[in-house]
Amino acid sequence: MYKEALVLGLYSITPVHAGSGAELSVIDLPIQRERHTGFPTIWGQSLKGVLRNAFEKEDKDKGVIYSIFGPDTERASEHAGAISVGDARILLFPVRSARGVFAYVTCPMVLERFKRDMEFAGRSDIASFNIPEVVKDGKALVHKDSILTINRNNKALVVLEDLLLTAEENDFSQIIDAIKKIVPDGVDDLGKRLVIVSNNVFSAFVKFSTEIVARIAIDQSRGTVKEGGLWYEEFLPADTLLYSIIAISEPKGGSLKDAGMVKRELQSFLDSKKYLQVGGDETVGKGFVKVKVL
Amino acid sequence: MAPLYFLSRDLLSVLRDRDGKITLRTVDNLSLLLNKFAPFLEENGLKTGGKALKRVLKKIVIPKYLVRTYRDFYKRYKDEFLESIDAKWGILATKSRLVVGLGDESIYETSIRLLRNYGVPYIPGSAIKGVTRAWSIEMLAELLEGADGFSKDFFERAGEVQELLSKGDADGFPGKVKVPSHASGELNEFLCAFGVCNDSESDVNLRGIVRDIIDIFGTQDKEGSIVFFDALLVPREDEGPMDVFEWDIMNPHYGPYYQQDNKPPGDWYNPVPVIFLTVKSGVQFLFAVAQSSTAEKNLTEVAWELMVGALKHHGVGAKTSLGYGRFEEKSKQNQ
Repeated sequence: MYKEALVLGLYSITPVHAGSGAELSVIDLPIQRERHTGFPTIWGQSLKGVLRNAFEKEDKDKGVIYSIFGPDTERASEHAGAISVGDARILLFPVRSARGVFAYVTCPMVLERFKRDMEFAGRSDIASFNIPEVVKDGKALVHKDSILTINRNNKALVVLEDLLLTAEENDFSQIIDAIKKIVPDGVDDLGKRLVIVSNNVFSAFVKFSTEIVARIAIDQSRGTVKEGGLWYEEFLPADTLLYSIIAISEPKGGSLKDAGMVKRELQSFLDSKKYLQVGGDETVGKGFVKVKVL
Repeated sequence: MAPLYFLSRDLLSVLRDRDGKITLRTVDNLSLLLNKFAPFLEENGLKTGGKALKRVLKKIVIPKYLVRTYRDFYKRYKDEFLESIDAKWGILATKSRLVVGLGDESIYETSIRLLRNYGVPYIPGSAIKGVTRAWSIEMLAELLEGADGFSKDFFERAGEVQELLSKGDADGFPGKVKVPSHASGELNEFLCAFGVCNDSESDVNLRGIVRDIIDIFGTQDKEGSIVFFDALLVPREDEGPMDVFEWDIMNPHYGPYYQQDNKPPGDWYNPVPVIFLTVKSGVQFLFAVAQSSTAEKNLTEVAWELMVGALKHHGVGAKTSLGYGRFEEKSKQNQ
């Protein structure tokens, strides 16, 4: 059914609020999360909308847009679009570190999934890395030239947020090479900052150390906060790396002839764009991600 | 006396320096240091707060190492990101102390907004957009003094203007209005952003101005046409340590009067010094605006001028009515 696939690397330049709607909790506006893992995500439909908007804004030929994304809403039943945009999944999450300022954190489960997804996308060149099988909860695996370790009494340690972990040096060259393929240019310090922690610890970080920001609205006649004008909003921090897979089938309408053309069209467009805006709060500078497509 | 920390012994043994303190010598990220490693000092009970922080950290200087790490991020942001989305950017410097996020949730009485990953101060785009809009509303209210259908009281008038703008109701404003002969320099700067420079007594097309303002900031139904980016601290070129913070104090005398209904504002109460961290004067920040994805008319220049006016005259962050958060322009701009 699917003929081609594209892999999308998304690196956040500013905090991202891909919102899931209002919620009854301390956080009024939480971010989208996967139901089964609690990991942050950006839903495929949100991403597809972003891509379509960007295409339409560029005044692309309507036939091209219909082929890729499907016709306009009122004629939506005529034919489907040629692409299926997958949810953006997390690969690296930035966490503050006592040494080295901050770390890129990931875990075996996330890497496993990344590997599987790359195989699905037909990118065995990216998927050819080995994953450390089990990481204990108190451990942090680091690459050989890590800038995150603190040495005390002949022991290497890593402090992430207020969590003390025992560091263990590993050779992550394969993993780093794989991640580097989907990281947009300009991010050069991957190896030095990479930490692999247990699935549990990773899960705790992505749940409890996102960015929570208080926002207010002021009433101009009084100079104080408006009634109901205080809310807490959650953001995926800057320097987060996600990826998504776009599966491409033969176009069922519009002006493009085959899946290969759809792929080339998307690829050249995203290569020239470099940045996309995803999620809410665009006009206050949020949601800008750097894109790499391959 | 060494401060107490409510942390595990193992963690403490790693993070404490020779004097028993946790400082920027052992924790590279100031945002992490302030958030997670609060020092407690004995003072009629065990307490933490600005006072304890100041006694433990003394003068806070952003170390060389952090400046270097942050500079990589800053360069990527400015030279690649802002340039490639065709943003207008420029550098302004604080002319007075600045404190953003003073009321943020924190274990201390007060707080300051820092970049999560890098621990350096920044000003959120939402705050910049907020004050730019607030200043524009004040200037419109000044311009509408004595206009039909608007309140005589300046602040009530400002409230009315805000209401109309939120609804996107440009027709609720008079079509033309005369620039008062005694127009303040501030008002002239505001008008100048719309191409009306020093034209006292002349008529200005108020509705046109209001339409642009509605377009820039958006309404309850329509997104604004301008993106206001977070303002980032400009790192030192030579990557040397940066001395940008200053401790400050507020000293309320009438606590019981403010907090309880039946207490008079008497001089017999004891002052309660509250120490908080600010960004000092003379510190440079990079500001940027760009067109949003739904923009139709290009209002980047106008928005930039309004933002500069607001930063110069209104100020951003907390305590602006005491003169905090004012900026002055530095010549450096990209366009």
